[in-house]
Amino acid sequence: MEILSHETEERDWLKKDPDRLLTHYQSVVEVVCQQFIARGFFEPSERKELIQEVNLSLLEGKLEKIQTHFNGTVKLRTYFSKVVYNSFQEIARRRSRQPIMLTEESLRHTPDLDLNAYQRMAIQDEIFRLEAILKGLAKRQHKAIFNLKLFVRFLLEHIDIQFYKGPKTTQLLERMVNTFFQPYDDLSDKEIFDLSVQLYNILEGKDNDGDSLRRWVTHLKDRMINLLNGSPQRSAHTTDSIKLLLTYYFSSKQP
Amino acid sequence: MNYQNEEGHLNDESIARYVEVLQSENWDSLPGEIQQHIEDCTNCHQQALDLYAIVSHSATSVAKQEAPKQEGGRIVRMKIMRWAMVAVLAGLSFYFYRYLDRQKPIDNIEVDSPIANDPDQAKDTKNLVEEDPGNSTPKKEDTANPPKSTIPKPEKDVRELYAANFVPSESMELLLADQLRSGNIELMAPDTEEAPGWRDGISFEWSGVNAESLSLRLEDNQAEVLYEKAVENLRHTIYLDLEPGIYYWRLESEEDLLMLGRLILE
Repeated sequence: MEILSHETEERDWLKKDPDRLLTHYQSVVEVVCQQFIARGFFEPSERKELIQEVNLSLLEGKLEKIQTHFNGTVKLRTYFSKVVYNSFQEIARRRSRQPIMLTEESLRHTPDLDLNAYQRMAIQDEIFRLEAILKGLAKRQHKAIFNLKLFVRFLLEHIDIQFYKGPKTTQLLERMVNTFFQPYDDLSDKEIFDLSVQLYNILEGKDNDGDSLRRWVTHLKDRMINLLNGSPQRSAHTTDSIKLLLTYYFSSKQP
Repeated sequence: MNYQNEEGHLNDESIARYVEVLQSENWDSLPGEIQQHIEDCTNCHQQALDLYAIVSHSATSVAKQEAPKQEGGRIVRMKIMRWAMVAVLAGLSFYFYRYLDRQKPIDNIEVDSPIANDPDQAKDTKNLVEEDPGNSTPKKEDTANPPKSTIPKPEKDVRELYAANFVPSESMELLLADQLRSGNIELMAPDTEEAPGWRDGISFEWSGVNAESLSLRLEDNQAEVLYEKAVENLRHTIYLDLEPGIYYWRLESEEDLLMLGRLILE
């Protein structure tokens, strides 16, 4: 109810009082600006000037465009965030700015205290983008996360297998608990996915071998690298850096 | 409905729509065309990932902003609890103080002498009582146990009398621990938190160079602002009829909190 009334109020401002809307959404402009700085497109010292430039472009026409093009199928804040993102991207393009590539080396520093706020934000940004890829898998998300955890040798917990519990899987899950609930770095991909595939064969009534599951996971990993690296390129991920990023992500989701 | 722009990519609203579905995971609400396009078009997919990150960052920063408010709420609740406990304790202390000190009914029961066995002695006794009704057994309170006053004596410890005023403010104590931008200003007076002679006024003095207009604010331990005045020439004296207790003062410029201090007035 409160969200709806906020949304109504904001849409009302868009029509009648765009200046007020812009003031109200300044935090969005701030966050997008910080994100671009964190990714290395701009220097921290340019922050104020950039925000001013974007605000000016919004006041001088973009807010009017929003009034015309916004159909109301999403929250105004989300749509506004996209417009602001486009504005910063335009500035970066105009000034021929390139991002600082996020590499395995930069990820080797765990999201820790020895990093400054922008470096931490860049890693967090990459983790959010990774999360978006995983969420985009929709119904395959659970299977993907389970097997990606195995791929990076992440220790499983009961929460990871409770989804699969059933009379047919009891014995197999017991084997998995004995295998994946303690360090299993010494196991090969083949050994891991040979065990894991049995679960999906039971649940999906199939007769696949571990190698097909391993190939599916590898394809997933390659797609992640491709999406995160981007075009034009903004990250330089390899299999190792994706493994690191996945490990950070899984750790951040642990209760 | 058109989900694409002139270049054949998803328009901004469609990308925003995909991102909102990522957040809600309500896939049934996403038009198939958008989902299909995202799967086929790396460019639009990347834009969606970027927007998802922005929206998630925004949500995190809003949550961070909300956190102190919630923390503030928790502090207020704790304060209320603390005050309730103080009130209960004070009530109980008062009750026991009065109860233990009070004349108990048993103290008023006179211990009669044995009833005289012979009628003459009994008559004499009756006469004696009738002649002098006041000549009964003296009550305990008249002799051994004079009533005590329940009004606190002035020589009691002020901290006991004004206990509530001496409960430090959590939020201000946290602020005190922070490094503040005091710039070139240094506190000269009061030189101790006890501010000797405070009943006649609390004199503040700072040394240093300052071009900004400054103000001095005094708050009690309940964050109630008792005093706020402009400071000129880095000197100011507060004349207030204060009760003993803990107080906090702030020296502020128009934009910043420059200095914060505590006064423990006893």
